Amino acid sequence: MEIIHLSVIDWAILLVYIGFIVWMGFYLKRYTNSDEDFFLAGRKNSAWVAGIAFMSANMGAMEVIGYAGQSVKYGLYAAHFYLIGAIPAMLFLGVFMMPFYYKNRIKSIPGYLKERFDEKTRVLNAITFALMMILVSGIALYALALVLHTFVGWNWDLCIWLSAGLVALYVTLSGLLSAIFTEVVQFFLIWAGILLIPILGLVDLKNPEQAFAQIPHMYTAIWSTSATPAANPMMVSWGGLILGLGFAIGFGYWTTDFLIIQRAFSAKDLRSAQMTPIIGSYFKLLLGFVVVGSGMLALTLLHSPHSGFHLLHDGSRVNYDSVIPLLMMRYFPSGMIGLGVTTLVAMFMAGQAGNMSAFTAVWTYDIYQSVINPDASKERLLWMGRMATMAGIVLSIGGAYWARSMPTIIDFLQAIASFILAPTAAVILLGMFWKRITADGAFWGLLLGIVSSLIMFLALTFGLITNSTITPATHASVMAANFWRAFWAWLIASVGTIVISFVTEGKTDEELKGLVKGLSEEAKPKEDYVYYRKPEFWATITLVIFVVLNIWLW
Amino acid sequence: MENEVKEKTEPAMKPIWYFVGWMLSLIGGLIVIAGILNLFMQMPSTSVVGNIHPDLWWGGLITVTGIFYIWWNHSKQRV
Repeated sequence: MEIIHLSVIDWAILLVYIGFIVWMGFYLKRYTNSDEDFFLAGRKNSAWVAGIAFMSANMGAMEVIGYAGQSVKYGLYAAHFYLIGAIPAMLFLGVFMMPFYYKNRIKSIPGYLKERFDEKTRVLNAITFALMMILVSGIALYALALVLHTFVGWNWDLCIWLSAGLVALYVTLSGLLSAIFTEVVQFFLIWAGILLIPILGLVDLKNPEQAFAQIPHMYTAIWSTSATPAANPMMVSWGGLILGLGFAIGFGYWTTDFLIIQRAFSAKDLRSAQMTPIIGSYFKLLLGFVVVGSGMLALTLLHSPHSGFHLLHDGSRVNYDSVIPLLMMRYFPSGMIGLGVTTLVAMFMAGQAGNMSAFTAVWTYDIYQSVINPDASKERLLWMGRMATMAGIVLSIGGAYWARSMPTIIDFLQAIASFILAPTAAVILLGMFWKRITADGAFWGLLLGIVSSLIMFLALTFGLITNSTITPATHASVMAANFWRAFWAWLIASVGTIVISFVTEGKTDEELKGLVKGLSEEAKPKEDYVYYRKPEFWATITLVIFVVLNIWLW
Repeated sequence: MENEVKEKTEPAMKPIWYFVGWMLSLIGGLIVIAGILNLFMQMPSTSVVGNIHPDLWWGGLITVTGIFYIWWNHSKQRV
């Protein structure tokens, strides 16, 4: 494959971006005076800033590049990641869960587990989450270096060290404050880079309706082919989509992954915190149009005999992740190629800074302050935050080299995420809505969920069971198995938590005030807003759009 | 106490939208310059839709959006 040659202006665009981001880190350092500034950006952000940062942390390179590739592989079924796999959980977080998190001025998700349950549940969650952040960050670093090496021909090691070094610099200087500021800037840049792809694609197709008609039906519907797994490209049933993707994975990721929820915690008041994921839900829908639209565009071009469009191959395996860079090469003229490369770098940095700021907060508050040095002063915590960022970056670089040596590591990583997030969601949701759940029940339920998911994954990896064993179907894809495994992990964690809670002693109603729904007056915004400023109003509109889209694409 | 003194001596922080404006203006401006060069110097284009000059109108749109953000926020401060 021919690599992209950057012109002087392409280089200028990339260097302007890098220079700007580094300058912002230094500019914001002057305003980072306390641990709350560093870990929670001073809790001064508006709903828009927090909402955009919330989505930007989600729009990592793997998210955009990976899901565009999934759209070529699975057709419109990939839209489920943006619909059932995201919207219900995002709205639930904003409307029902954020008042609990925000009212208690919780600084992290493990912090909530400490308040609601006990120290051991907090530490278990903190350790597994910190480990996940390091692995995710390492894999993202590896993915970025791979893309830049393949398409632009840059040195692999240089890509890794330079990208990681830049993120280390600006996150170390001012923590979440610079992470959020740069995420918002990157958010606009990412849209500038990817929004144009489907627009130019429609121009390229000339007669889009006729071109789309060449795609087989199984790739162009999202529910009508879900009764029988063999009838759809993802080989998954509607049960797997709703219970696995929608419930276990969707709620696990959007309601308990501190990486994204940390952005909502940085909001200036309760209404802004509630609006954060709701504003994010609108961008998530738009992102779905762009990412899945780009994938469907590539699928159409692949079915058009004269398009000259081909995906890359790694040996005999199709490299679906090459879709976005290949479309940029196809449509972007010189000058805009610089924007395309900068977009890829910005996507990586947004995700990487998110991973690092979340890792740093959880390490400092939930492991260092909780276990190692409970009497640490605020100055010491701020210092530890900066040191943890540096250490986290070094560990992620190690993770990137490890990923390079293991070609299937990305699948492995997806599995790790579902080990941790699905059981965590089970425990948090039960604890938040049912006072009978005890600390021992939560701890052992969480551990049981993580271990059972790990056992299922290893049994599948070593061929002791097949994908069909854990999905109630004769035919099942790896993706379908991921969905069902997450659901079983969620179910085992839930049942374990409930059973153990019934035989152990829990906290009193007085101790649980403000932590369990129904035990105290609900947290309410200070003002009585008019209807169109209420989070519930905007959540309802998203819900209507969600229903309409599901029916339209049925 | 030390922090309070430090906060008072620092100039107020600009809103984030101001920085967004500068970033978009600079990058959009560079894309427009590339578009003009491509147009007048008849550079061979590898883009299959190069005939509609996306660098000119997309770069122009990014620049205008950036200038609007700078103009709207240049005298504001982050609360």
